[in-house]
Amino acid sequence: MTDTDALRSDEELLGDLIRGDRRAFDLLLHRHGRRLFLLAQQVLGRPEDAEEVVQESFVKLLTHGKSYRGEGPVIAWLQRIASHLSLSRLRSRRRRLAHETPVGDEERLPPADAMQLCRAHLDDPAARVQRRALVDGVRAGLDTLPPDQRLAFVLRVFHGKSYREIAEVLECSLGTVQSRIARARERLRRHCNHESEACP
Amino acid sequence: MSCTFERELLERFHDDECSEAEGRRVRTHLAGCESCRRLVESWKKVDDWSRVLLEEEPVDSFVETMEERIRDRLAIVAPPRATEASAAPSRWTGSLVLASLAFVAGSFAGRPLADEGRGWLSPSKQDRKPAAVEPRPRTKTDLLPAKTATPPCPQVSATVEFARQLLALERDVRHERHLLAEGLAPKARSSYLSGADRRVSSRKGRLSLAGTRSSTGNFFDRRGAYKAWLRRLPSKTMPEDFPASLDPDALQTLFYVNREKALRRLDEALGRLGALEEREAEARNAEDELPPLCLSRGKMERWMELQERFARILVRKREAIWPQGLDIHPLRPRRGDVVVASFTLPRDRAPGELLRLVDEDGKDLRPFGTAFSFRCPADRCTRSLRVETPGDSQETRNLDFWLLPRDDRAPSFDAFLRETQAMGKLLRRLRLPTPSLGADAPSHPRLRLEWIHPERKRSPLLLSAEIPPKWQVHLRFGSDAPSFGKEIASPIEGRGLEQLILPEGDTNEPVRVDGFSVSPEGRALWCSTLSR
Repeated sequence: MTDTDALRSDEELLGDLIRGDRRAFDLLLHRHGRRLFLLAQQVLGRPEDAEEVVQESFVKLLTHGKSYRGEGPVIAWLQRIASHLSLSRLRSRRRRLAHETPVGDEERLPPADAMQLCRAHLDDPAARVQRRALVDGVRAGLDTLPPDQRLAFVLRVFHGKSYREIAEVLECSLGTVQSRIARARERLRRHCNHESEACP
Repeated sequence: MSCTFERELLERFHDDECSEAEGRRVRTHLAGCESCRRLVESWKKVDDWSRVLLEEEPVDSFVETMEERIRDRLAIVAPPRATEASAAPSRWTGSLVLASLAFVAGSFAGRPLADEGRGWLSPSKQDRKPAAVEPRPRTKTDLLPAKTATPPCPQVSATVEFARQLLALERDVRHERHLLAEGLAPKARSSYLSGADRRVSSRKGRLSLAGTRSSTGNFFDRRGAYKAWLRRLPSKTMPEDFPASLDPDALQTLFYVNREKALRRLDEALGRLGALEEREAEARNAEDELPPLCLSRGKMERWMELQERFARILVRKREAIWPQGLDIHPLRPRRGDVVVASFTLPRDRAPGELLRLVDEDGKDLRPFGTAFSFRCPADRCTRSLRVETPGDSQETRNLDFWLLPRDDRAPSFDAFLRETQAMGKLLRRLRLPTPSLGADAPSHPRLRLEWIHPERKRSPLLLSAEIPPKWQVHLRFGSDAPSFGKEIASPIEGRGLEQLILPEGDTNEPVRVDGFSVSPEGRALWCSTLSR
């Protein structure tokens, strides 16, 4: 990336992208891909799904770039797209799981986790395993939240968004945002208390 | 909580969303109220607790490769966006289609479609309306490359094309309506859209949109025939009088009157055609598990690179019930490598109840969740582990072994999985044309690589291949052992079945066959990588 590229604003890049500049797309992807990935992963939990969401978001940027009206920063627009995609993906995943007949009450550790555990074993087993359990607990807690509450909570707590910004992303009122966050927090607190006494 | 203080205000205070005065009021209250203070602290603890996930950042390399993958995929499905000049035809096409539809609809509905809703627009709002009709957004279907294979039946092809046009028409109409509504106030917009949708969704509205020139009676007379025709559409066998019975007006009518059914039928037809084409392509490419020949040169090189990079990470023995002794030597672990065994087990059973892994020294491996990891000692080779199943061995399933090289030459296991998954998706989405190999080039050369004694490192190596005339086989052998040399290139002229026996190795180091390719005039068709 050259210095000139770094000076170009997102809006300029989007304009160039609409005019067919391929490099503008690469720059936007490089600038915001990671942030969108984090958001999607925190909502969805799976990196593969998060990657799909990032890809879909940028496909929408390619196809709907012209409809951007400059009413806010490009990243906010992208985050809104990624949030909606994550939300719909999460909902459809839960719908699918609800309709699927479980094959067996099995718990399979994904190979990626196996790898991490392996690394943990090699470094500092006790601490790593403890940490792992903590992270798994948080993930399980987030999984218990309804999609809307989860997204609101993630945007507030992980991304530090204000109620107003969250309301714009979720297209709902400030009161709804507040109640969703409060319910999510309450549910997480109950989950925590249920899972472990070490939690709040 | 016994306190009756406004909880809603406490929540806003915790999220730093209240005013200065409210904040002061809450702080004063918290100073004297134990229960509210505990409540706010518990929220803070929940936030801190969940922020643990923030430290679980994705691996940098994964994010970097993600960008690359996304660029790669989008390069396939969406070539660089058309510039203004090249976008013009599609805009013109869209406008023409819309104009013609508006004309047809207007002639039957009493006024042009484009004029609908103008009454909602004040002059200032009209200014906000886009000046020109923009091309409709591209959908996923549009992004997919056009199918290159010729459908088996030209009539089916014509019908499918016609159906696509109908769908595009409908999308354009909807898009146009939404564009018109964009300049409206929210209430007026929803009212306008629901009214317009109702008009299109109603049977009468669809009939008028379809522009049926026939009388209603005629239409219903013919509907049964078209339904029967639609039922036969996916079957590939068209009636003899098909072209005569393909009346676009009537199909369009049916499409609008019973749109869901017509759409379903057309989807089925498209799906079956797609499946048929896929099956045919698979049958063409299935021999000897050759990767699809429709890979472009770049993709093939990427495929080869992946195979080469990850050849030493092997996956074996899925769905196996293990005997008491387990030879891990086929995994070819080296000194210092790590072997990971992951397995599934019922949720209510502890790993140790059902499965134990014991190394050559008789030491139990410690399970982590549903995985064991074992680092091979640095001073000697490890050939086997002992598996003990104290419980019912049938309950332990899917015991997978993964070999992780000791050094950083090979990428991480996570990267491997993601790469291969991404590649799998890529391959499924790829529908690139078969590269031209010349008139006399056989499309499916049969290649085989065989090991005489795969379990013995020093064994001779037999390679055999059926090489068509005028073709050459290039063999490249690589090894970590200096005595083997890095490469032996001796093109073998194709005269039918060729065999090459490598002498017994003089080293215990593993030998790697890096490449095995058949190439007409230097164009590689296939490569594989094996290790021993």
